[in-house]
Amino acid sequence: MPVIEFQNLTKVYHLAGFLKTRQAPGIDSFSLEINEGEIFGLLGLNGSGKTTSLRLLLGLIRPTGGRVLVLGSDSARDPAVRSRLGYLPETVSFPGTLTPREILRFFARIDARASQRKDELEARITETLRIVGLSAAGERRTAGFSKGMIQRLGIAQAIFHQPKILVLDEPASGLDPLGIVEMRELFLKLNQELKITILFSSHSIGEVEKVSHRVAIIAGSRLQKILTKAEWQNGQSLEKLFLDAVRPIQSAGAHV
Amino acid sequence: MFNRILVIAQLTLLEQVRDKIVNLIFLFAGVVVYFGVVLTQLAQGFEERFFRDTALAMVELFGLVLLLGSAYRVVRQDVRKGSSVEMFFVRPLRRWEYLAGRFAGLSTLLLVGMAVMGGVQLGIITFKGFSWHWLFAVSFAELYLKLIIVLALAFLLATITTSQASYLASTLLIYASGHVTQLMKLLIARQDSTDTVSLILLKPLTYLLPDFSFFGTANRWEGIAAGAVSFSIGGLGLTLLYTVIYAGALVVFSSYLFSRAEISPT
Repeated sequence: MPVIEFQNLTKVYHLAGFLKTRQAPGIDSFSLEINEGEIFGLLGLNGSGKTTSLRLLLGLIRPTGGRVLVLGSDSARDPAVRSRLGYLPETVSFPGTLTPREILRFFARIDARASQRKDELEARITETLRIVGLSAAGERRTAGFSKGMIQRLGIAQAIFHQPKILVLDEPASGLDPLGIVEMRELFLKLNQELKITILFSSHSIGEVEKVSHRVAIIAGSRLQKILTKAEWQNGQSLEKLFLDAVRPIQSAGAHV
Repeated sequence: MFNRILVIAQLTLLEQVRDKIVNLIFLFAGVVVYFGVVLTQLAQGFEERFFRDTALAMVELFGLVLLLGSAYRVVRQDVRKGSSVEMFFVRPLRRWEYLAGRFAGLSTLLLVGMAVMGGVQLGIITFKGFSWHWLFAVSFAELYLKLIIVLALAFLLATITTSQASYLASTLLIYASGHVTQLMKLLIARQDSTDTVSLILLKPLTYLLPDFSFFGTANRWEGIAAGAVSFSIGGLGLTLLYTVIYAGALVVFSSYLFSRAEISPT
């Protein structure tokens, strides 16, 4: 059963210039369905349209055409649906003067569903910090945190309200090799133990092939191909499949 | 709705209070007030007046620095960085609620900052043996309301300007213009009614610009204290009403623009 449906989605950016605006394609006629319980990877080069499609899904930008349905509803307009989504942006930052516990407390209070007893709230914060491996740093100000720790706290805020769907934009970006492995293990744990559907974008083929059940290759602002795990495990490598999809677009001079 | 606005306001207050920049501004204000006290010794014969004028000017300066920096950061910089603000906007939080919460948080921060400054001033008045006058409280209240208008202006300009330089320049320009709005109105009234430049360009401008002559009790201090100039609570009530309407309109308009704006990818 699809929990996310991109329906013929198009986004054209209007970039302000000195005297006139310039149009730049974000994503073009993008249609895709993501099923409940899946880990789905969006794979593409920089500027191919991965982030644009995620931002459209989250209602951060408005589509030029088409629509996105999340749990059967329009995410941009429905607060009830929004409360079922967790999101980790590509660039994560938190006020350096606050501790992870304080930050999670604030996010919890914004969510209307989090109107619960204080001891329950604190217990959930403790549990969430344990899941992301930040138990020992819960009372420390985030100013001294490493990139990996900030990323983990980003995940914590995204899963704290127990979402059904987790949307992650380049989650391994800027992490060291150990951080990448830990992030991968965390994804698998969230998907298998908490049954969270995960949609993430990446330009790292190695990462995408290790965790995804299915992958969409985006190039030139268009969806080029959808692949299942069986295709890259039993046939050609994901790298080969990706290059086969992307190179003709690059050769044609399209913006990828 | 009010709960979410309150959460954002509390977050803003906590962030800013713990921020070292705010601590530095408090320190700066303390040092400047201290120097004001030392310099009053040079102003023999009118020490109290010198202290009062210097201290009130320093409080206004402190408030301006505090709100100009903070408003830009919470409205523009956090959005540009695509940081925690995106994580807020994918929650059941409307953008106008976010902006209203930020405004409430910074208004409270300003109140806290001015209370600290007022406390310092009261301490110095007691220490120096100066006489306390109720006009201090009125001047502080008016200064706070004036800075609330500047804060609302800063929110609007942070929403529509494209760089920090243009934001600062335009906010300070309007802040300065607000001090001569009344004078502009008087000058326009003296012109020939066929002077189209005055009528078409300047007259509407005088109604759009803030009018800081509403906040001028400190300038009439001597006259009020001597009983030569009248002071009414009703006048203070009008000033409050003006602030609520003017600042409220700016915040509503900023919220409208902020809600329509697309958050650019980093």
